[in-house]
Amino acid sequence: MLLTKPIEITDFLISIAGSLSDRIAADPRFGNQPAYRGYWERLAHFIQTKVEFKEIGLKIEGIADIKASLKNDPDFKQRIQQAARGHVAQIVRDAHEFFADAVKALRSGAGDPHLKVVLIVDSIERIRGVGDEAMKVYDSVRNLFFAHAEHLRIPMLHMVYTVPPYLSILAAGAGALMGGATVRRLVSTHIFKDRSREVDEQGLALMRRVIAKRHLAWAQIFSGEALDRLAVSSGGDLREYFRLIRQCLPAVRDDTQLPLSSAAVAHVETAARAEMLPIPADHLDWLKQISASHDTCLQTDDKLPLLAHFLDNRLVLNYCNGSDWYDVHPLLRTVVDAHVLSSPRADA
Amino acid sequence: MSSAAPELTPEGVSEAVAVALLRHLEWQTDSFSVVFLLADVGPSMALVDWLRRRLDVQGAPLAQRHPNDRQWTRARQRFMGRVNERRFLFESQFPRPLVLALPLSFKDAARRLAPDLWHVRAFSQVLAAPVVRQGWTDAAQATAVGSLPVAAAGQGSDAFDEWQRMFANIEHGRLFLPSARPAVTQLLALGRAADAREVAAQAVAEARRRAAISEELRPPSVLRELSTTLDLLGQVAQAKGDWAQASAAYRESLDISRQRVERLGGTPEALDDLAVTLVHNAELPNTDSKGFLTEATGIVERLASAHPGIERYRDAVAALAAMAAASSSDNSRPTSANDPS
Repeated sequence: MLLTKPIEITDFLISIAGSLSDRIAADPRFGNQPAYRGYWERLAHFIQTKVEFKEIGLKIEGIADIKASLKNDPDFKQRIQQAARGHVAQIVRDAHEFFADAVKALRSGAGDPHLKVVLIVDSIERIRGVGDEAMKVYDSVRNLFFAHAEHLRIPMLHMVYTVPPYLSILAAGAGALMGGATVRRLVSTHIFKDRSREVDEQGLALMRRVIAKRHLAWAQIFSGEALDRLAVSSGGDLREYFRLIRQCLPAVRDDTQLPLSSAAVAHVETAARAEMLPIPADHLDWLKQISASHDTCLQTDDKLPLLAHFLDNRLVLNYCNGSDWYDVHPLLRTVVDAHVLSSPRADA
Repeated sequence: MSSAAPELTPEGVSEAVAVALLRHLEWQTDSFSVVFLLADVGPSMALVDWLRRRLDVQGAPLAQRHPNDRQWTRARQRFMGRVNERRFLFESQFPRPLVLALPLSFKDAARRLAPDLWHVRAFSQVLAAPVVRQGWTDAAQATAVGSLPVAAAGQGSDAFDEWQRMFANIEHGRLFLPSARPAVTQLLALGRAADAREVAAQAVAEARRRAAISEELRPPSVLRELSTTLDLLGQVAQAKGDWAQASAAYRESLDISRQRVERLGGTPEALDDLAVTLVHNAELPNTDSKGFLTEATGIVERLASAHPGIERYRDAVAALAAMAAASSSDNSRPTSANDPS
């Protein structure tokens, strides 16, 4: 799937069905059943029988061609979307039928008629537009999960979709439209108390446990204060936490420096902060609003790409202490706090 | 004219940066990781060459070439987008570190176009080529120097070639010493700090030789030449992080500049040169930087007042005011241009 172009229900379902078809075909336990027909063959037959695809001059040499072109050729994808618009219902129906056949094949292959099959559709959160096309792409994601929620409820399958964090802002209530689907957020560890900068000791203890699970003797390398300092500086984001810890190590020259003190790890904070800078003044205006209100402060839809940028690049972190709240990355606090608003509401 | 002995760190790159990258490449050999190297061509080539002498490095920095070329920029943007989309392929089929070398100016675009890759990065480093200031070269001019079309790997410095030609073929007494400056500028941009130092040292040596001629016989510009070439040597040393040499060069230059003001009675040129040298000395660690900046500010303000039509003096006043403001809000000593701090 091309992740930087607008997406529609047709190519989305085609991609999912095609991927599942490939996985089944590659698995010797399931792929060799005579009654099972892969999705790509079905799609190729569908395309060849529909005049709209011929009219747009879609040249398809074979199944491999369809797969490769959907992944790599934006023009092909757009033309498939265009031709498929008149056949949404049939494409959805065919895809759902395939999924049902696939589940039956899996159950037959496993010898378990009640086998539960879960399909995880990953990386949808990476669908994002670039430049002028950004809003069009975000709108297409909203349309997919809101207007076509019913089509994403695939019978006989437990579906897990990874969705971007801004989807609940763009399309509030989409989960309900999918028959009560639950939206779970992967938030940062709550190392700060609710809507504050006050450190939560329970969160810090959790971060220490995470390290202890990986290396029980961590105290030989980091003092407790140093590890806690890095936990706070990471904002509770585990990946950031691990990165900060890793970056402390090359500077260690010999064992006499161990365990590293809180002061000895300060340099990685400086380097991590530098990676997030510079930040334009208008972005700082918005970050200051978020820091003060602990909300996204999204005023208009067209600002969504910038909010997505803040969340993607961890300039803004999402916490959940009972309810969702937001704050700027701890390492940016001094920069944001020192910034003087250029206008009362610069991003309005 | 390259360095004879293998260097402990690459030219123009701080030890912290070089060691961080080396350790990462040494320690993480069997799984995918990505490092963003946002750099000018010179320092990154120096870093890659240095790494090659220690590790089996495949490929070469290509994506950072031609930082100002629009087609290259568009190609880089497409490349980053596709690499970001295909991250899963790297994770499954490329179990080794990947260093993405991109132009210095591409940092914001890299984060924006490849946010997933950026998020999972092992780390990033910024390597700027050291710049040589020319008198009151302000930030804008320093940026312009840094954006000179730098030679790609395998290409030389035409100014350096010219300097070498003159040095080899012309009687040294007739060497045009100001031509050392563009040679040093280009060499530093290419990451060839050792060669830059050699040029600056040659210029200083010749200026000293001329200054040793008896006072009645030597041209009046000789002391000025010695002072400016010492400043040049000091700037090269400063770019390499050799504060001891920078200090020696700048202090001697300051002594000479003060002598010139005494002898010439404070001509605008002599005062201007003194102010420039005072600013260099203000940047030295463990020095009375506030005192130097104050003295320099007094000089340029008098010059600007006496010669209101000369833009250079007005620019100097503004530049010093900015430096004084920056100095009062930041008490840290200046570090190498390539220090990630």
